[in-house]
Amino acid sequence: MTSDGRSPILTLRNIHKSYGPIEVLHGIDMDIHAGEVVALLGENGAGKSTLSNIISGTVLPSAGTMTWQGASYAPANPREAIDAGVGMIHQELLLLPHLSIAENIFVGRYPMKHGRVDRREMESRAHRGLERLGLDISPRQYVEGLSTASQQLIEIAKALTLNAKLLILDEPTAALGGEETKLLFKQIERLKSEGVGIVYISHRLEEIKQIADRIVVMRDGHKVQEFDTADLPVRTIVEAMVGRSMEQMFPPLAVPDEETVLEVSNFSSPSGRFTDVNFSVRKGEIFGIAGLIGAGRTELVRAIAGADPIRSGSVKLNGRDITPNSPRDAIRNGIVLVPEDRKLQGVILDHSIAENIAYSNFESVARAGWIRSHRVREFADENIRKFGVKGRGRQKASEMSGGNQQKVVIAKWLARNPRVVLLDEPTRGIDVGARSSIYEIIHALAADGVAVIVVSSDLEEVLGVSNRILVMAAGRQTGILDRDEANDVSVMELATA
Amino acid sequence: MKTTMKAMVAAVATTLMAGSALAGDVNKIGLAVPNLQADFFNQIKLGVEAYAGEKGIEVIVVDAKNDTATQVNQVQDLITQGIDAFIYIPAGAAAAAVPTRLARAEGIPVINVDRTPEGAPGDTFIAGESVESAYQVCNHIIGLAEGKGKMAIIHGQKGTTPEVDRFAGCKRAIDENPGIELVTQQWSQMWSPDEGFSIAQNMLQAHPDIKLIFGQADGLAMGAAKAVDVAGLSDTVIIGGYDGDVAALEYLAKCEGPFIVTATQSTQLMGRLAVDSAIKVAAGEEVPERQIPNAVLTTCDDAPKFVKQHP
Amino acid sequence: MTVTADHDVGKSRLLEMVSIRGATGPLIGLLLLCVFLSIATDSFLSFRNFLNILDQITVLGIMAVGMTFVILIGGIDLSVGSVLALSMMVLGYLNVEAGMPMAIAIGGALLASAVAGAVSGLLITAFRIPAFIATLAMMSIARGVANMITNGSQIIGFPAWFNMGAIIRYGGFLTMTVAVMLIVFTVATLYLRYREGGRSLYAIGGNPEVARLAGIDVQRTTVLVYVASAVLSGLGGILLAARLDAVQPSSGVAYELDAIAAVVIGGTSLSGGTGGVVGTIVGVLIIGVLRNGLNLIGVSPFLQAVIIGSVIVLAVAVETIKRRS
Repeated sequence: MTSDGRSPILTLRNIHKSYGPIEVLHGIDMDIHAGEVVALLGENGAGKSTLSNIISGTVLPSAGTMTWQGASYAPANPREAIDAGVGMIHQELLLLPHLSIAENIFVGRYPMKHGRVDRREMESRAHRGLERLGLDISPRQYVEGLSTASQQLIEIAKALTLNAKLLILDEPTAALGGEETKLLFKQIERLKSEGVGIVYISHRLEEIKQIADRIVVMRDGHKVQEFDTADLPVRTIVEAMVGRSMEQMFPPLAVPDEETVLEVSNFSSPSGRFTDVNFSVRKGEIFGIAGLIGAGRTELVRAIAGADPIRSGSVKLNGRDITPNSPRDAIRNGIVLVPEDRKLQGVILDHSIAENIAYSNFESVARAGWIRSHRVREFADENIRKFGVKGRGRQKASEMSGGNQQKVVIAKWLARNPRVVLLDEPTRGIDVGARSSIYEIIHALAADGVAVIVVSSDLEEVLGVSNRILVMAAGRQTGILDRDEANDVSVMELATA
Repeated sequence: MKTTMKAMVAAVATTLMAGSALAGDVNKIGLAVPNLQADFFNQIKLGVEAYAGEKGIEVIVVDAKNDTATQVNQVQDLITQGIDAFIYIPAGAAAAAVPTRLARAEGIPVINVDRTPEGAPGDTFIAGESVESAYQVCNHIIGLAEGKGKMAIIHGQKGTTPEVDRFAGCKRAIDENPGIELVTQQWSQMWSPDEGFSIAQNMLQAHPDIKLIFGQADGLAMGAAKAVDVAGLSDTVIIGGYDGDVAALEYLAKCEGPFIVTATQSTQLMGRLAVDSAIKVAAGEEVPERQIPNAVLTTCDDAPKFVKQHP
Repeated sequence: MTVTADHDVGKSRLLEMVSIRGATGPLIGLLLLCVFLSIATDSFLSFRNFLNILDQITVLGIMAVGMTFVILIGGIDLSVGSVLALSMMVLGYLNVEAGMPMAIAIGGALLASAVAGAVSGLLITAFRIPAFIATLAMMSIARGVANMITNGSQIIGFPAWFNMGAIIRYGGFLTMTVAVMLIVFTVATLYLRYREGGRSLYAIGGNPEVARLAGIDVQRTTVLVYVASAVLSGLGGILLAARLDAVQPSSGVAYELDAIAAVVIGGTSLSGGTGGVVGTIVGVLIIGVLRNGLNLIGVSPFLQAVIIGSVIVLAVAVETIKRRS
């Protein structure tokens, strides 16, 4: 398919996969060459994960053939794929925090000498692997406490010490900041030049444009389009993914009221994660907070929501000091937080949607403290219907897609008619379709007169949704930009100030 | 007031519980033991089973694992099974009166062995006079030490009848010999060898010149003997035990080591007495309120024959 | 029309109350066990034996309810057996030694238990000591204090009516102690199902951070749960004292393990967030019926231990396999 005429290292022909009567992959053909980065795009449920799991031996295809370096390839399990030279780096990192980097890289296959683990050999080989990725860390260091980016690179180093010729990276930058992403991309370039083929799965289209050589777009188990270059307008890619032309990702912004709802003054955290932050948000305003990873944005909104303690400062709501001591305090005053990490802080995965929603709305489902269980389900169904969540109240949260989970988290708070809504990375890991409906919810909130604060690492997003943008750098507030003066350059200048 | 209440209970119980045992034949005996891990109780169980077997009587054994509440439950279950007589060895220090009351309410004869609950005696109480036997053991070792030297006592579980009685007996022997100085005493929880070992080790640490040790049970004495061996004092220290556990008798039979005397419980005799008493009470005959199958002082000479069978 | 609809709602609500979500496996096991024992021994299947079983599970049942609360929030309470002993000794001391009225003695015993629970709870929340360690410490401390009260010896001499409460079967079937257990079961079931506080326990067990961000006071609730567990153990101790007509500081050794086993057999996950009191009641009944039935069949005590261990593994394995598929 690419024009350079080399033969591909991996070919997929007519790959099908069915679970029972349901076919989730409908005859996928794909080629990967040595030394290229192929971006695999698609909404959640499009079949990207199933496809990459087939390549990495985690899932067996129902039909179809694969070849690897010219020979027939049918891995029965991940071990066989790894032995062949195919490594997959999962979105959830699988490192053991209490072991050293070297031990993590060689766990399960320690180099042995005289029946004992040969630590010196292990560490020197780990060191070479880390060097290859430009990582200057001692292999004896423990994984616990390393940055997510470093951990990601250690996973890659692990795959490389296994002589991987093909790496599948699933959302590798989901948890990375700008600098860390840059570092990762540099390493990907280096691997490319060494002839490693890379399949890159991501929702961040801006990144794809930077790093990918080709783009394969999947939708509903089909390969719908293949671009031989990544140098395309984002809009073209998005339209291929969602299968319809996108009008406007971000709805037009309304003008907020003059009335100030929330006023944060001299706000500082005890650990210095943010210091002396001052801003106010008006009724119906969408207030963006931008900055690099580690700038203190998450810590700031958590503190406003009472989730973390502060050292000094105050939060005023309609002129009244209500500086919260606990989330309970904040919620009582109408300040709610949609947290950054949905799975760890937003929903209880093992519990039903109805229960998840009930936990923050007891007064709506109970009479005199007695829960009416039919009311719990009705209440959940009403509220999730309002936000277009696919599913029913009795379903477990873990059975839903990330986008729907996020809508549940938002729904459980909006049922309380809050006055201030803090959204921390509201669209992280969510597919494009669900993303635009979350933007619509945000705008509807503002139109209802709620003060909305949106923290986002996605520059396009924060520019697209906000009336004003607060930019932070290393815990300091470096500026507040109005919509008409905010653009990627002005925000990045402040974020790196 | 108290009696009327109890009478009322008995009345309620008997009306509720159908088919209370008629005086007469004994076909099924219930035996409640505190803990079969302890060799002494296991020996009694074997004694009861052997003798009842000869008489063609079925024995149902329940083991309370040292928990009084468990024992009450088990006794309820025994009664449900329609036992004709109940041999009761109360578990734990609180020799609960409730099992006796439950059986009495059913008109089932109650034979207490080894321990008897305060305030609720059975039809007869069969137990060795441990004050006397403990006196003999201590007297024996004191004699070997020629009536002088420092002495230590390792007690059993504090507050239990055997603990109290065995101490009383030994104390008498000590008081009769002014040359003996009781320098230290400690209590164990489980009467077990490992406790005996660590307690004795601590004692020898604090008083390296101890000449005599009385372990209130053979397990304790065996543990103490090991501690004495470890301390290299096997030639100077003399240890006495109590109960005649199989392991202890085998140890004694070898005639070496510091542990040289014990009092072997007459468990076979206890088993015979218990079963015979059960038959007699059920038949309406008189049995003595107290029957005393005393423990037998055992040295390395007579240990071998007791290994095969308890007196 | 409306009448029928209302009727249906009422009916479904009633069904829901006694429903046993997640405990169907254990319930089937319990029924099979009963069928087997009825065939294996003719003394099992009788009203009187059923009442005996209720008597026998009283203490375990009440403790297991408290343990259910603790395990639901993802904790563990190893101190329940010792707290039971502490409560018994305080009761005996106040009533028999100090000659106070029984009502005051019971209040004192429950108060002592509550203090023990509050200390565990505060160690866990304020000092962030893992529940396993904090309650292990409390297990030792409470046992020690229980022993100190009488220097290790037992107390007897309660008023006659006290023991009668555990023996007289009012209305032909209900002893006072069993009645207390049934009340505890009912209140706990309703509380967990229908009270905000009860539902909050599930949230905390599911994910304490989510619960906290949802506005639930996790720390306060955690302390109260340990207090509840301890008070219920103390209550169990009072009923045990009534049943035994005596108290001793060595009571309740290893009861925490029985209580945990009952909760786990009943389908409550040790990682918290799922399960409930109805399952625990089934678990308690399984243990009670099993012990009773094995005694009735005359199974040797050593084999009984093996069987009970196997049942615990079986119950949990079945539940795990069911969940996976």
